[in-house]
Amino acid sequence: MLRTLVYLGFPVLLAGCTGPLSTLDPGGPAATSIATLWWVMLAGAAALFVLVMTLYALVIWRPDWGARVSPTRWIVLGGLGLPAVVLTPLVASALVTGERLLPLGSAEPLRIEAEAQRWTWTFRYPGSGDIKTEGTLHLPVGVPVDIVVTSRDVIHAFWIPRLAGKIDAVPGHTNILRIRADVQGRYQGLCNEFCGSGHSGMRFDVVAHPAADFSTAIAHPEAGRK
Amino acid sequence: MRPVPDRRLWLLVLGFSVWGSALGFVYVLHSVGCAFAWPANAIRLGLGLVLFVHLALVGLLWRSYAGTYPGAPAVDPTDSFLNWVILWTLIAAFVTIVFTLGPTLLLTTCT
Ligand SMILES: [Cu+2]
Repeated sequence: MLRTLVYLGFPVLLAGCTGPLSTLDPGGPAATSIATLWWVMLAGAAALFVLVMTLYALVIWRPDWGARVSPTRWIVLGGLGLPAVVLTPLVASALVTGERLLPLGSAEPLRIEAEAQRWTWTFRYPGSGDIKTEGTLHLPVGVPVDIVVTSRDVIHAFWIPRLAGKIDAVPGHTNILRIRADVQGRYQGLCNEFCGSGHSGMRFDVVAHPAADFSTAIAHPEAGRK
Repeated sequence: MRPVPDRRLWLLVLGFSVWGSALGFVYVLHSVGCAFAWPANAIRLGLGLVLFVHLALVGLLWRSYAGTYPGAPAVDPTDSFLNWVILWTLIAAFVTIVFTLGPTLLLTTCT
């Protein structure tokens, strides 16, 4: 019975690992670091789970072994030592990944402004004339882009799961998210901060064009909507 | 060992209240510092001071609960259990402040 449930349940769970909103199917360096971090965290959680279950099985099968370990030792080794050994490397790798995701470095990449408003996204391309697109973000492939994110009404959050982490869109304030799409094609983005009744439909399309075609593509945004 | 009087159960959250205060101050100082574009070293210095003050506070409380009263009368088992829990939550709070907030001194302050 249990075996059948596991066999049936596993493909259902795995189905969540793909699709246009999958963080585990990265299309650029930022999302790749985040996906790697996710796998590292999964490995850490699995290691802790196995260690705890081994101890649990030991005290069930060999109660005399469990009784020989003093309560203080159980607390210190099991409650402090075990998590510390697993959690310290996880924290360290998360901090290193976080540093790598920051928009640092002297080169000023291309900037695109993303403005959220219940319940749509408007993208402006300064430096490429007075062009703006609604509901579709156009990007050049293989080039780092700073998305300058803000909001016109309430707090939203900008998220393209296959390209980068999320960042808040705060009224009166700009946040910068550096992204790079390495694969040409379409991606999906969404609002990731509950912002009212239209929140669940606050999606946007992302089209990554070959860098040479980028300026043509934003000048004729409709051409990008194939 | 310091007997814990009745109705002082709130002392059980003493250590982690100090940790909570440290978290709040670090968060506020960091956000305000970045919003007003203070120099990174000034922000780091401020964060270091916040952490030092909170660690010193936990350290003082730790010492006070670990200390012995000369000639203390035989202590009620409940009092002694409470004292033990308060002492160890203080020690845990000290380690937690270092572990969770210490890295803010090393990481990039603002972008
Ligand atoms: Cu929204």
